[in-house]
Amino acid sequence: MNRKRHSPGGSLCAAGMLFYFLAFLLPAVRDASMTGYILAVAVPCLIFLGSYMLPHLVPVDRLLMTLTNLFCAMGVLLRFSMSPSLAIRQAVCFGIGILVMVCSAAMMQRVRPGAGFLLPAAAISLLLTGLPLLGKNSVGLPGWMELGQSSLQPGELGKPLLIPVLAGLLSRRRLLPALGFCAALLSLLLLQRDLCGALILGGTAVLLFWGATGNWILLILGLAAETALAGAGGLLLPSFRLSFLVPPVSPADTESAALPLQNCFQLVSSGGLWGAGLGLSSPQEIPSGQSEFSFALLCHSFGFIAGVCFLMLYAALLWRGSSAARTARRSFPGLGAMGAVILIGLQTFAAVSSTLQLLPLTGAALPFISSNETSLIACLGLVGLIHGVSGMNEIALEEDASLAMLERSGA
Amino acid sequence: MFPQLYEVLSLSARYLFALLAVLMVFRALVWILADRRETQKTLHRLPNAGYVGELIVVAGDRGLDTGLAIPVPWEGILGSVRSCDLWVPAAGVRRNHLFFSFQPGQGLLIHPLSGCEALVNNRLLTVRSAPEKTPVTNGSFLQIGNAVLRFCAFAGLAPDTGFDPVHSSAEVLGPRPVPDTAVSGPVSAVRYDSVPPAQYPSDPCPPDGVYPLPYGMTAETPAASDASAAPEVSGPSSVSPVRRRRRDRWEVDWSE
Repeated sequence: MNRKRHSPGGSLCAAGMLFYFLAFLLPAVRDASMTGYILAVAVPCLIFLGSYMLPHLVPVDRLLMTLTNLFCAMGVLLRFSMSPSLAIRQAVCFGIGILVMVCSAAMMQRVRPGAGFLLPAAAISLLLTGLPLLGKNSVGLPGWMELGQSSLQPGELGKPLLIPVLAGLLSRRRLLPALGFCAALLSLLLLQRDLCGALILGGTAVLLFWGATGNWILLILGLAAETALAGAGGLLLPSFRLSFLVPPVSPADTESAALPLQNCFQLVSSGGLWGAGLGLSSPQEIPSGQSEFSFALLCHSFGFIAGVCFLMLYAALLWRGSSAARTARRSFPGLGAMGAVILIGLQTFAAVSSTLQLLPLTGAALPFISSNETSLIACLGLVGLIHGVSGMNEIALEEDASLAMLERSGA
Repeated sequence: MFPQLYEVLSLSARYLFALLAVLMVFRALVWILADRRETQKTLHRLPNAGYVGELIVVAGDRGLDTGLAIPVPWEGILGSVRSCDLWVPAAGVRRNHLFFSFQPGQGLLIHPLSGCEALVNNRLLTVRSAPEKTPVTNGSFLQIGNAVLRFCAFAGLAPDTGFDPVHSSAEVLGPRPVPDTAVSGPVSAVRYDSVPPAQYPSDPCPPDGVYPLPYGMTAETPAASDASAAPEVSGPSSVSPVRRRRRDRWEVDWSE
């Protein structure tokens, strides 16, 4: 949709392509890895295709698409540093996520928030969130269930539906049904002992309620409820209690649940400002299932400066999304885009804060970069909602321009 | 590759990676600012972007000057608090009074919220009496509290923006909005070209400068007494509705 306007995206895309070309090439040359050589060429090409060709085919925001590609490429790179097969798997999930993103964008543009959409979407969202209660959880983390050879988090897949349902109910001023829907979701998450997911979702719902109604009392009450929930969870859940109260353990104590947190922070600090050097350290001691350590790996490999730069790119993505939400002509797309932005923002905050020990280990996956494949697909679906709203805004502005021409010609 | 050579390359590349990361942030920021500038230029050329019409104040309270044109967005809440999409600070208007939504081909659909009332062309609307949304067509009068407003849709939104010929009598319509040529500010004029001229009064502007009152309002009602204080008008070309600007609303909101 941005093809008619001059966009200074060429140098952003070029910098990203060069970054990943070198980042994949260096370890590939060291290990003589064919997978590395292929990724060194394929990843920059995919960044280029996604940033320049895809906007011509589907109505997506080019800046958002470029930023998303850069983040997802970082996820593939971090997995490549652990194992090439993980990198391939991450890339495949990225491809699936792009399809989900396009479908989300189309849904946002075509769907009207009527009962025909809200009821099935709410039912599917509740079903996906409650599915882990019925399945087998061998990973040991809340919200996960086994599916054949792999595990997934079905609740994450419900997020691209959850936001439109909330936005649809709030745009039609159905506050009580929206409250009931949120309460049902939170209950399902708390039954799975997924406190982090419940807090992120609760925070998103509170901010969306405030955005829809402008009611400050509702906002204060909601934030107070969130704080109470966090406090109660910290007192009741063992993992949270350990993170806050247990002192550092000795390296020999490998059974301690506090060990991953220390490794995580050590990773960040050992990278320094510039990084430990790509391929010079061995991040393999971090279990690949610990998806909340992606930011630590990034800082370790590329340094704290690069880590801060990627956080600023996250901020740019959120700013762009909030701009799309603010310029939406109707409540439903506006609230939908704002809900996606808030959810991605809160998840990023939770993931980075737990890495830097500002919060206890929350289990939140860093959007787009984390090894949590279902989270990657879900976040791309959320970005698809923002693309859809951005596309609608572009179309509306073009209609206004044509109407202005109509008025002038009729004068 | 020799390990020592790789170590030198990898340690040297750290600085390049940091530089590229900073460059990416810088270019993303420039991109955002460039898009923002372009959007502001576009909005400056299209002052009516995002709006479907105007509510012209025919009679109002102290916060509403007669003749004020309030831009109407596509959808939102009308009420007496500044955070509402349509801010109407008149007595009798609740904090959140009614919900409105523009549908091309139907007009401005309104639905009073619980406990609120509105009059559309002398038809009383409440949650019980009008459970479905009621269309406010082009030229219709909307009375909420002490405020009497007239909806004027922008031209071209749809061929049939719902102009209601039943109420297009000379006693009802009132003065014709000002043509573009007489307007200095960014005010959009409604085009009545598609409406048969026979439905318009031959002299749209009242000679004594008083706006005609709709539907049974008398001089004793508060709105009527305010209407009698309307400024004199000498002809359609010299009347310029004062329009509440987009940035005025935001300045007012932030000042609180």
